[in-house]
Amino acid sequence: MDAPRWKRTEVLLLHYLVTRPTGRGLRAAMESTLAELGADGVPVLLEIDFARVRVLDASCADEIVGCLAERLCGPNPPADAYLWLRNVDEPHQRVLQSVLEHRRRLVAADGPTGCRLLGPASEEIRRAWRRLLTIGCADPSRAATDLACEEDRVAFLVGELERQRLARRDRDGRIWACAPSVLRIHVAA
Amino acid sequence: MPAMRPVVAVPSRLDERSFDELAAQVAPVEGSAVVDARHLRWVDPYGMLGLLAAGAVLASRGARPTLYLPQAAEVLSYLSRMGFWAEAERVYELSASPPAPSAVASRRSPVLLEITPVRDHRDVHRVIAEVHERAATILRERLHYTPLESAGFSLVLSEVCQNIIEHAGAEGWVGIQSYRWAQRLGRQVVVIAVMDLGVGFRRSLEREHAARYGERWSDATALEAAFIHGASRFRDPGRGQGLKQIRAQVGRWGGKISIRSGTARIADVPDWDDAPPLETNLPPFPGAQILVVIPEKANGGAKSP
Repeated sequence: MDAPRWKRTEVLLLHYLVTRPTGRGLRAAMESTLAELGADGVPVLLEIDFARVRVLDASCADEIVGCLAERLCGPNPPADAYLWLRNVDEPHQRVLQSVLEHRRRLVAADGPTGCRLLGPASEEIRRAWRRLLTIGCADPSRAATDLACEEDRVAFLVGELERQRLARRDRDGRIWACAPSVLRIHVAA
Repeated sequence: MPAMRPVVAVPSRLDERSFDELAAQVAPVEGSAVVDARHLRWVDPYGMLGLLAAGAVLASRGARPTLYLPQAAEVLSYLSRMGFWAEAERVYELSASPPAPSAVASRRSPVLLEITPVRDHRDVHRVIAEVHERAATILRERLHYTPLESAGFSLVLSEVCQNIIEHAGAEGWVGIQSYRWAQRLGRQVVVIAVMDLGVGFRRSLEREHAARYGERWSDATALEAAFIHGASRFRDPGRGQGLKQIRAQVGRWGGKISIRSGTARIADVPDWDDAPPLETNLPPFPGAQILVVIPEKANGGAKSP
């Protein structure tokens, strides 16, 4: 299977992430990096690492993750970019879950309890995403089997995963999970 | 013969409840005044900030007010430890020289954060960096919360301080103390007080939300809009989450949060407190006054027999 070409960049956030101006400054820097990396149209996976974040308040989280997710899904994104949050622990998750619910955005994350979707996702969406994450790539001709869903729900589920930038189709129509593990496996292959 | 200056008598116990007595005396004063704290016997961070705010309000109406210092040595000493006098000297003419603060606060000191002015976001960063580790230790050792349970403290502190910058349009203060609240709770508590002298919730939210409420728009409805419905003065749907986060975290601790603004006060009241959830027709006072009380974890300190 041909690998779609991807770029990957990582941001390691530090210590006390409080106040909206702090978050706004970080978001501006990330958007600038994404615009530069994605200028040639190649999709970019941005991994934001929370491992060293001791304090994350709602204002800062809203800028770093909520507003950024909205920008990437909006009409004039800085790049064809996808988000993955790393090392999200329970206190981070509480705040991030709340800001994403406000903005009705979904973002994928990993942490001590494994990979999960943050934001207001239905159980059906979560199940389809977990399945896609496990298999890495779904073939459009057997997407219902691959995503373990009813035939009449495939179009909606794939559309929703694409709309939230959790999945991306390649030139052949195959549906890829936008996750570091999937991309690493793919690149290695 | 010089005209008599009006006297504002500070209650002997100054906290959230008695602050309204202070506000009622400040409201009608025009021009120069004397604030008499000689009989003050007990004061918490809310009371201290209230005293500063009262002085600032009086100063804005005329000459700087004179503050008669408390007579009780332990109150003077405690106010020194809380860094009260440095701020008081900006607001008041002091009737005497206050005692110098002791050199270094001990590890067992109840002072978690001295009275600290908050003017911009850099101040919030400084406060969080200063308090985070110490607060985690106090919540763990004295209030018996696990590290996970105490993790939200700095989030709450950051959001209440940002409320000053985002909504007040004026500077404010924050102070934090830990002590045993024998009278009402019989447990150790951490008390966060935040006050500003800005425009208050009603004016801050007026442009975006008043029309929807029509004639019902007031200090109370503005507080309800912000506190219960997450209303913000910004149109961005992502805004207004700070109070939601604070309420959720304080609720997990079984704590109390109250916000007074203008003539109203709204609160999440735990079962150990008997304050009403909404009070109206209070004596008017500018800005916003926020109280957060985090109680010792119930049965957390109990030892096995």
